[in-house]
Amino acid sequence: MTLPVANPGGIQPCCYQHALAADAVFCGECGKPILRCMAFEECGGLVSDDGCCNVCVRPQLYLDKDAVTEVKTGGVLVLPLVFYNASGIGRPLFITDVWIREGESPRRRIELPWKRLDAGGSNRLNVQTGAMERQGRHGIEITFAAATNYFMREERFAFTSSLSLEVEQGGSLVINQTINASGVGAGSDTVYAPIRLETQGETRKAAVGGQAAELGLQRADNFEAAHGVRGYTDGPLKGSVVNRGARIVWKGFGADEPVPGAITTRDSIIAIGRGKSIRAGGDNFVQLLTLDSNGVVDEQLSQAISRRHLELFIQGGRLCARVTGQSGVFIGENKHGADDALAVIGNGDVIRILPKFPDALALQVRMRANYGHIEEITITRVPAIPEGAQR
Amino acid sequence: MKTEQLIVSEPQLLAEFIGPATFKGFFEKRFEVPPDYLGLLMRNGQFVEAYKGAHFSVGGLFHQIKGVIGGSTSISLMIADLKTFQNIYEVTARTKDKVDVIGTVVLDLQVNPEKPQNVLGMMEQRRSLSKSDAAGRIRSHAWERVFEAALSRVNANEIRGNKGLQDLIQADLMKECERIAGDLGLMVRASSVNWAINEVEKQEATRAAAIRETDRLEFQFETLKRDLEREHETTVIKLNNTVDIEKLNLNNEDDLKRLVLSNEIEFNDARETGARIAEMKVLEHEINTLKTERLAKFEGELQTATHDGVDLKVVHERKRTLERNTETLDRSHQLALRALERDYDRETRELARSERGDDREFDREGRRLDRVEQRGNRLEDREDQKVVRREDRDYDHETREKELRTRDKERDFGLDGRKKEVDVVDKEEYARLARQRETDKVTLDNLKGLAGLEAEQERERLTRRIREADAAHDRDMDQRKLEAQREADRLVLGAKMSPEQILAVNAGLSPAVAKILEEQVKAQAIDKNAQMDLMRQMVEQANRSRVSSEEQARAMFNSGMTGAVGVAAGAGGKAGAGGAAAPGEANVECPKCTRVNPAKAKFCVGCGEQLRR
Repeated sequence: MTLPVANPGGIQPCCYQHALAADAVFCGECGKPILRCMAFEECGGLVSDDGCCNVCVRPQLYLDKDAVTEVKTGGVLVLPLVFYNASGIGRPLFITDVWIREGESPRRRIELPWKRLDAGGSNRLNVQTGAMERQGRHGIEITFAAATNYFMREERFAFTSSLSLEVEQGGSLVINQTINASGVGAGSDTVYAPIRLETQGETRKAAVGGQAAELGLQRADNFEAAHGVRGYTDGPLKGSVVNRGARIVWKGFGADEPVPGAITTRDSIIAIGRGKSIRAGGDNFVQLLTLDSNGVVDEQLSQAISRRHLELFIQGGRLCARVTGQSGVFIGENKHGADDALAVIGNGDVIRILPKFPDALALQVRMRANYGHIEEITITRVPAIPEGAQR
Repeated sequence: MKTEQLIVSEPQLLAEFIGPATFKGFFEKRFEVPPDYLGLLMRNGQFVEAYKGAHFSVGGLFHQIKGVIGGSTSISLMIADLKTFQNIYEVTARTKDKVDVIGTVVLDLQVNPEKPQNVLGMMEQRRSLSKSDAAGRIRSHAWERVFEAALSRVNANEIRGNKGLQDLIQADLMKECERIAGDLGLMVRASSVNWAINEVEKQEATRAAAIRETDRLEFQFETLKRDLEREHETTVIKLNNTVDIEKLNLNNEDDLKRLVLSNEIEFNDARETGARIAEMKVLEHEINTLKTERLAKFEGELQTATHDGVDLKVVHERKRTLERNTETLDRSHQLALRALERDYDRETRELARSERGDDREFDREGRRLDRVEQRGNRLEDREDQKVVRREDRDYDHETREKELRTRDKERDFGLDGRKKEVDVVDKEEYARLARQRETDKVTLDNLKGLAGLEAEQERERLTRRIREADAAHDRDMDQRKLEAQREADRLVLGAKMSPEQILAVNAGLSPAVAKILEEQVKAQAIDKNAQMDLMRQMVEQANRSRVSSEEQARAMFNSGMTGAVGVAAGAGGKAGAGGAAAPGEANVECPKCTRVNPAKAKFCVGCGEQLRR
């Protein structure tokens, strides 16, 4: 039996303590980078490499108390599921998809009549299994995707739970329903609730307890990558997921080159633009200015870059960009403006900061995947700022 | 003028000729054929017209004059009932499994209004046609082709409720009627068969009743058997015991009666006891179930409480390893003890053997001395004989005797001396052996004591180690439980907390302190952002001051902490460049990024550089 862990991802209390300082980047006690939740201002939570905030995302799944019913061989079973949002700080969850899989049969998507799940609220969903054609143990796997939103950003995670039904038939029908409530929930407790029903002689209704049984939830990371819930869905990095703590390496930025490391800003966003960098007292993580042929800052052309031109962040296991500059940018072959939705940046993409002067300034993005996890992203400025360039 | 209605004279008639007498008369007569009847008008033996409902007039003076002038014509009318009529008759047929089945056939027939004149074909030579005659014509033709053919396809137990069979029969019957009576102007509107209960069904019903009865009897039997078994289990042993004991005291008939009476009483008592035992068993079962449930729940809670990465298996494994080591050491200790005991036994045996050897030597010496003595005696006798012989021979007795007595005395004296010497040696040897035994015993005791001491020390050492390991394990478990409990409390409390409180609890402060800080923040801050910033600073200050209780938190504010924080709040709540470093506290500058960190920080919060180990 797998025991759930209290601090998934190894986030220690010392990290929470040091995260109180607005500009703290590393934990002073354990030295780990402080990875804040995108909604840190509301939840104060930290995330680990998987990007899941333990404070915002706390779904719980229950099998309702009237779950057990009688079914003949060849009949179907209806599972009354109850989704509960256990978030303690009023953050709503959005259940976007639910899948059911019986035994080795393909996974089946369930139509959801609702989506929003307010904090402390619960919604009910009846899921019908297929026909129980044979006697024996039937394994049922319920997987769902839960999303949390903060302004324009959204993180989705898939959770799974499995339960098994044992159908015996010898004169009278016996159903053993055992809920294997093992696994790692988002801080959820573990419940082991075996239910055994027997019909002997004449048919009779089984008396079950008046409580809903909680189903243990486990992060379905493999499922997330395989079904596009997180990570890249096409290209050479298909199925790979960018770790939230992936190291961003900056090249070609000259003396102002940021130190390589994870995204540890307060809003977990890397802002890029003409404005001053944080180290120089501004708001941008990196300052972008164009240079002329002599390697001197081209003031006139630099005016075409907005003060806050582009925002980079990791969302859904992908490196994403939100264009805030008026002139927009080219990402690969596509132009993105300020009104567009988020753009996903893939391996090898070139971000051209000024669409009208595509060769003036560009950022080339390279990623390095390791067993399906992208742990390092290199952003190279083209053209690079020569050493000792004048400002 | 009155209109006369023309209908058949009897209700069971289907069709009837109306004779000329009905029409004759001096005055004109008006006749009406109702709409549910058919009128076939024939003039001079020729069919003229068929009417479904008709109205006509016959006779009268004008027609008579016309007949006189132009000649008369013969007119006749046949009326036929167009309403559907029902005919019921019995049918007997044989099924596929050779069972004769009886059924009642209900046929709904009607004169075909499309071909009404064909009814004449059924009239034969009569003036009227009854409904039964019309139906009878079909019966004789259709039986074999319809009923026998349909029933021969199914078994006797399949005919009841068989809609397919009914449909088949109706379709076949309609087809046959069309074939037989279609030209005769008769058509089948509907048909159905009601089957009587046949032999097979009777047998099945009887069998089902017998099975039900058997089940009922078996259930009663099982119930009785269970009752008896339960009674037997709880009563028989007790009765037997009583009988056995009582038999021993049985002396006369009165005793026997008393025994029977007491047995009955015991029997009743035992039944009561049996009921109580059964109740006790039920209660015990419930208690066990509850115990198991509580144990499972407790284990679940324990696992939940220790879900901070503690693998209980590892802890159990470690404990088991310690127990195994203890057992191994115990076993080796026992083996060493046994080896020592064996050595001691061997030495004891050797000592005993040597003692026995000494005894034997002494005995041998004694026997040798005895032999010497006996030989001496024999020599003495021989000497005596010689003396006698010499006396006899030489008659010099006295001299010889004196010499001999002197010799004897000398020899006796020598023998006594030797005996005394041997006794002394013997006693010395005994004393030596006793001393040696004492020495050996003391040595053995010392040896035993030494080994025991070592074993005791080893045992104590092991016990100490086990206790130490247990204590460490308990401490470890307590620590982890505490952490898990704290985490669980944090999560549980988090459900009812505001973001400010969660922030404080996440930073390691107690919920009570978090509440105090939040109160202060709400009292001082202006807007939401300022609240959060102020809260952060307060939490940092509380952490630096190691505030752990509500009283300490209040004391912190009372001692003027609010001043510093208030200034910060007034300035917009923005933390300084120092971040976690507070004024007045020992600080250290990061050698890499020059950020000022608290002296206790192990890493720079700005660049992650390790500041101290």
